[in-house]
Amino acid sequence: MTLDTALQLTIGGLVSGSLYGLVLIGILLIYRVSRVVNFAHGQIGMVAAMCAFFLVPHFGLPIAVALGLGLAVAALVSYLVDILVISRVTKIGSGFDLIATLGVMMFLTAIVELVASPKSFKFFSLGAQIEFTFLGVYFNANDLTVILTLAVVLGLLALVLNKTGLGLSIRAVAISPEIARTTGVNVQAVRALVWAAGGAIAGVAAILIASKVTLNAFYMTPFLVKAFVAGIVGGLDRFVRPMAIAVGLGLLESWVVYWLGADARIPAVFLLIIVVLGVLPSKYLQDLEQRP
Amino acid sequence: MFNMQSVARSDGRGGPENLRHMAWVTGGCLLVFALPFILETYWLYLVGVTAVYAIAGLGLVILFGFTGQLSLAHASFFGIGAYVSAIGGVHYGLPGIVTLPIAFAICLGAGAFVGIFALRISGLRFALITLSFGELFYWASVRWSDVTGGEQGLYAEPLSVMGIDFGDPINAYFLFAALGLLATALCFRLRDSSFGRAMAATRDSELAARSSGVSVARTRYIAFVIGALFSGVAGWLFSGHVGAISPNFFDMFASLNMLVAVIIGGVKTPLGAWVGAAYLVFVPELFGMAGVSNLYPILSGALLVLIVLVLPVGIVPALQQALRHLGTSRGDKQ
Amino acid sequence: MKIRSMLLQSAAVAGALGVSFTLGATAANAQSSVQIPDGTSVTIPSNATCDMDADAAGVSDDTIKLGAFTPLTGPVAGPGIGAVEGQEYVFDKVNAAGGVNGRKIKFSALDDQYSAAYAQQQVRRLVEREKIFAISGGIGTPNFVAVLPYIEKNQIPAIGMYAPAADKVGTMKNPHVYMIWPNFVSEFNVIADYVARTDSDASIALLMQSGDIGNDALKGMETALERHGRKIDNVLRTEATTTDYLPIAQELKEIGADWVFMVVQPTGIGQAIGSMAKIGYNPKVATQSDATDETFISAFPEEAEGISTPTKVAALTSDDPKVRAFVEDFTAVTGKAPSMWNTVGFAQAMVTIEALQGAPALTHDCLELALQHMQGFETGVLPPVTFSPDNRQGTNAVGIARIDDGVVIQVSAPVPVQ
Repeated sequence: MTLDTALQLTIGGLVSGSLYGLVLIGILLIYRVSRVVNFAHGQIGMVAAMCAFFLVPHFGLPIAVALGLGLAVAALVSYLVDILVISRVTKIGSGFDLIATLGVMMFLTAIVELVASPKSFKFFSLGAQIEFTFLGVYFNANDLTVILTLAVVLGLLALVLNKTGLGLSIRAVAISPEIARTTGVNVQAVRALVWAAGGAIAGVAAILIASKVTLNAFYMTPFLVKAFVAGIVGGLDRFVRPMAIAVGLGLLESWVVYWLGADARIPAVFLLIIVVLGVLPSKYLQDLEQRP
Repeated sequence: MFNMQSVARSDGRGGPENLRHMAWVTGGCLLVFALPFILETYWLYLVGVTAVYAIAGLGLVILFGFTGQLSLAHASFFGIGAYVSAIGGVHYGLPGIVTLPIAFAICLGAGAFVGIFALRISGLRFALITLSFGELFYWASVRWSDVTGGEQGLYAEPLSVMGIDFGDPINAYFLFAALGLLATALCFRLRDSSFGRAMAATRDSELAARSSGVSVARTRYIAFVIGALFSGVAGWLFSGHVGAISPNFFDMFASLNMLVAVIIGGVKTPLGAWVGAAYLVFVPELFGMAGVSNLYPILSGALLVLIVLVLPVGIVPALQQALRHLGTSRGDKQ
Repeated sequence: MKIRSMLLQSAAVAGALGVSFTLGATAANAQSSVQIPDGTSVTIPSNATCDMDADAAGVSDDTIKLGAFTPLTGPVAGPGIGAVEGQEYVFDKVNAAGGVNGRKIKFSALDDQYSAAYAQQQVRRLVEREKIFAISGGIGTPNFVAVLPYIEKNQIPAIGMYAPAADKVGTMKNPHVYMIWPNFVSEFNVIADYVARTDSDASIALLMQSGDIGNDALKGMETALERHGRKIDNVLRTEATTTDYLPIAQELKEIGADWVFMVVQPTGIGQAIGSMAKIGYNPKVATQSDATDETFISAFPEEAEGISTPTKVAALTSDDPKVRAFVEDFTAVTGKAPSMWNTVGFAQAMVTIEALQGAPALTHDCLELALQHMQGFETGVLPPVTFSPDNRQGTNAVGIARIDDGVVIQVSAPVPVQ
C-alpha cells in the first residue's frame, strides 16, 4: 500500500465518521433533556433535505435559501414531535417512548413516500464538483464542508453549553428537570429549544449526506444506526467519547472495507462492539445506569 | 433507564371474583375448541401465525416485561429455531419432531452464550450487544447460502408427528393452541414463582433486589436464556407453518416488531404477548377487510403513535383498568 | 374432455374485435395502436385436454379477478408501482374494449413491501379472501420465492412475475409459474460475451453484492468468458447496506481493470461509479438491466453516462413500430412516457391476457394449457413468448444497450441466451 492510498482511505473514513457524528449530535442533545432515544431523528433530517430539494424547482429559490428553509422545517417538525408526542409519553423507559419515536419515524417515511414518490433523486452536489488533488489524494469541497461543519457545530455547541446562561439551563435540565424548575429555569422552553436545535442539526447532517449518496425516503437509516451504535457504546449522556467513537467508526469501516472487502464490514464492526463491551471494566459500564 | 413502575394488578380476589374468573376460563376454552370449526382456513392460518408470535412474545414478556432487559436479538433466536427445522428437513431429511430437541439445544447454547453479557451489562448497552449478535446472525444467514439458502431462504415441510399431518389447518390450529396455552401457563407460573419475584425486583430496583438477597446477574442470565428458548421454539413452529423462511424474517426490524407488539399489548402480562401478536397479524387484516389494504403500511406509524397516546399502559392493562372501573362503579350502585 | 377448436376460434374473434379500439387515443396518434391480445398465438393440439368443469375461483359471468403482490411502499416501491401502472394500462384497455369474452378484468395489487413475511400473508389474502383466478405480474425475487410452495400447493397459475431467481423460477420445479424474464445468469452471460467479443484484450473486474443475485451474475459471466478462453481478473464483494464506496473504488483503482462489471442495488451502482470518478479512475462500466430505468438515469445522470447494460425489454427509443405504438399510446392514455418498469408491467399483463383469450375455458387447468401452448406471442416489447408443456421460461433473450446523453440506446437486439 502506498502513502496516498492510506491518506485517501483516512480522509474518506474521516468524512464518513463526521457524518455519523453530525447525526449523533442531535441524538445526544435530545437524550440529555428528555432521556429519549429518538428513532425519528434521521427522518426529521430527511424532511429538511426533501423540503430544500423541492423548494428550489417549485419556487425558484436559490439553493442556500431553500436549504435554510429546509432546516427551519426540520426544527419545527422536531419541536412538534416533542410537543405532540414525546412529552405526552408518561413513562420514559417503559418502552412506550421507543414505540412513539418508531411510530413517528414510520409516519414521516410514509408521508414523504406519498408526497415525493418512492424515487431516488440527485441532490445538490454542494461543492462535490470542485475537485483538487493534494499529495496524490483526491478531495472535493464537499468533503471539506462536511469536516468543517462538524467542527463548527461542535465548537458552537461547546460554547453555548459551557459559556452561556442557556447552556447552564440545559445542563441543569439534563441533570434533573425538577430541580431545574425550582431554581427558576423554564424547563419547557429549554426542552423546546433543544428539540428544535436537534432537528435543525439533523437537517444539516441529512443535507450533507444527501449530497454524498442520493435522496429518497430511506437513505438516513444506515447512518442513524451507526450514530446509535457510537452513542450507546460511548454513552448517550456524554459528548466527547461518543463523538470520537462515531468518527472512529467511519475510519474503521473505511480501512476494513479496503483490506477485507465490503462484506467483512458487518462482522468486523459488530464483533468489535461485542468484544469491546465484553472486556470493558465494569466501572466504565456503570455510567449509563438508569436514573431514578 | 428501563425502569418501570408496576401496573396495578387485580389482587385479592374474593369468592365471586373467583367464580367470574372460572366463567371466563370456561368460556375461553369453549371458544378455543369451537374456533377451528367456525373459521375459514385463511383465518386459521392467521391464528396460527398469531400463536407463534405470541409464544415468541411471551419470551419477551419474561425478558423485558418481567426482568427489564431490552433484547434486539429475539428474532435471531426465532430464526435459529426456524432454520434448524428447515435445514434439518431440507438437508438431512429429519422429521420436524426430531429437529425440536436440536433447535431447543442450539437455542439453549446460543442463549447461554449471549446471556453471559447480561451478567454485567444492562440497559441500552445490552440492547446493543444483542443487536450485534442479531446483525451477525443475519449476515451469516445471507452469506452461508449453501446451508441457509441465502437471501431466498429455504422451504420447510409442515410438521407431521405419528401420522398426524399438521399441514392440515385444523390439526395445526390445535397444536398451536395447545403449545400456546402451555407457554402462557408457564409464563404465568414463572411470574408468580419466587423466581418471578426475583425478576420483578431486578427490574424495579437493582439495589433493592441485591439488598434482599437476589442475585441480579443470575436472575438476568436465567431470564435471558428462558426468553431465547421461548423464541426458538416459536421459530421452530413457524417454519413449518408458513412453509418458507428467509433472512428478512429474522432481521433487526423483525426484533423491533416483536418488541413493539408486546409493548403495545402490555409488556408485564403474558396476555399482552397474545394481544400484541394479534395486533401485528390482524390490524393489517382490518385494512384489508375495509378494502384499503395498501393504506396499512402508510398509516401503521401514525397508528402506533395514536396507541401510545391513547393507551399509555398497553392494551391489556388498559382493558383490565376499564373492567375494574366498570366493576367498582357497578358495585357503588348496589 | 377434448378441446374443441370451435371454442378457440370464437375466443379469437372476440379478441380481434377489440383490436381497433384504442382507449384515450387522440387523433394525432390514432394510427399507432397497441393490439389487444387475441389468443391467436395459442394453438392447442387436438389431443391435449384440460379440465373444463373445474371450480374456477375468481371467474364470474362478467368478471375475471386477477391479483399481484408487489412492493408498493419501501425502497423497492418504484419498480413495483411502475409495473402495476403498466399492467393497469393493459387491463383498462382490455376492459374498455369489452373485456375477455365479455368479462371485465378486476385487478388487485397488494403491497408486500418487498418482504417475504408480508408476501406470505398477501398471497393468502389474494387467493383465499379475494379469490383471484390467477396471479399476474408483480416485482421482486425474495418476496416471490417465499410463496412458491404455497403457489405449488394450491396450484395457482402465476404469470410473468419479475422474480429472476435462477433454478427456482422458470423451471419445471415450479410448473405453475410462467416466467418471461431472463435471470441474472443470462443477463451477465450476454453482457460479458459482448465485452469479450468487442474488447478482446480488456481486463475485467466484477463488483458483486453478496447474495443470490451476485452469485447468479458471477456464474453467467464465468460461463460466457470461458467460451472466449478468458476469465474475470478480480472479484470484489459489497453489501446492500454499504454507504461509503470510496474504499471499494480505491481497491478497484489499484486493480485498474479496463472494465468494471457491477451487480449491485441501483443506488450502490451510482455511488460506486461516482466514487471511482472522484479518485480519477474511469473504467468502462457494465451493469444489470435495472440501470436502463429512467429513475436510475435521473438520479445519477453523470454516473450513468456511457455504461453498458443488458436489456430485458426493448429500448423505448427503438424505431420498431410496435414499441413506438406502445410508447405513444401509453403516453396519450396516462399523460407520461412509459418507464422501463411500466414496460415490464405492460408485458406481464399482455401475456396474461393472451393466455386468458386463448384458454378453452376459464379454469386453472385450461389457462395453464393455453400458456403451455403459447407460441411466438408478440408483446411488442419482448422477444416472442413461447412456452411448452415442459418449458416455463417463455423467453430468455437479452439485448445490449448503452446510455448515451441520458438516453438508452439499443446496441444490439435481444438474442436468445446460449
